Amino acid sequence: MPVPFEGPPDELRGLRMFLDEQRAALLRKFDGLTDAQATSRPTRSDFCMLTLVKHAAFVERRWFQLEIARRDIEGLWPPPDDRELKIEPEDTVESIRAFYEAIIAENREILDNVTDLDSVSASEVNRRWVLLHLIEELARHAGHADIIRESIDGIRGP
Amino acid sequence: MAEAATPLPAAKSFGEDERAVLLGYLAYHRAVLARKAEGLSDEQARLAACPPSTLTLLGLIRHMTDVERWWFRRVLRDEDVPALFEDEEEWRLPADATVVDALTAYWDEISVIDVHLATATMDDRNAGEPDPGQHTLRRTIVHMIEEYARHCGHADLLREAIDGTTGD
Repeated sequence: MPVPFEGPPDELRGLRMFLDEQRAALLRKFDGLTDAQATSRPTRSDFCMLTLVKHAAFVERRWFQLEIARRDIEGLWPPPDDRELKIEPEDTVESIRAFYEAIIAENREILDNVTDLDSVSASEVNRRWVLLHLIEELARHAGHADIIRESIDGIRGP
Repeated sequence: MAEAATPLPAAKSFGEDERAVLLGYLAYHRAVLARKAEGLSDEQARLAACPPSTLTLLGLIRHMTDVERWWFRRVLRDEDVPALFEDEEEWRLPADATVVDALTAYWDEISVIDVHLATATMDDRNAGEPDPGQHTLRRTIVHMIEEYARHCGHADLLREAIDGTTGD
């Protein structure tokens, strides 16, 4: 793993950088796939590369909106259906990448306005816990992506 | 299918301070990785179950044992302890490598490290190479959490391929 920054950052800056690194890792695994490859399921898992990235986008959106920005938006939790794990006819590598990148951009803006990692939300979760949860969940899915991508075309790496 | 023996930490520390949250996530992932190998035969745990990936569950346990030793003992504390495996030898499993031996070494390493972590603060800097004084414990633990989580992702698909078991 590359060291993502020089010298010791503060807690919030460190978490931001690690989160960005996990996003980049997952998207690197998505690079250069055809739609057919991205929707293939080469392991016993139900995940394909397209649903991994789509799911990551939904996960980021609900945690950032509900627990980082603390906006009470209906329909985010619990998920109304399993659409984030399904491939719709209109889904392509390009459309899902754009979908995730738009959510990442919005979430970076939300995080730009965060200074407080300690206060807890109505569900008694603080922002430090949420950011670490996103880092671990994206990293775990990047691990799934490592194996799925290597099964598709032999490509390995960070 | 056999049950995992290591209990998952009961609750993640949702609203706690930095130290409690970081140590909570670290403990959680250590347990998840161990549980992925528990209940398997040695032969199953040695299996490269998702070819062409050469990863195995035993290799992952051996790897993280040495990663723990590297970051927490050599880098953080400058302890003069050799790597357990040279030249990525952790991935090349001897024919007699067992789950019990790998997990014993893993938890032994962690128990030595936890004695130190019990009194460490997140602002502590590394005494050893690389770059003495440039890594805080906070950074090291977040890195360990991401590295564990990535490898737990590998372990998820290996275990599911071996016997269909999913989940933490």
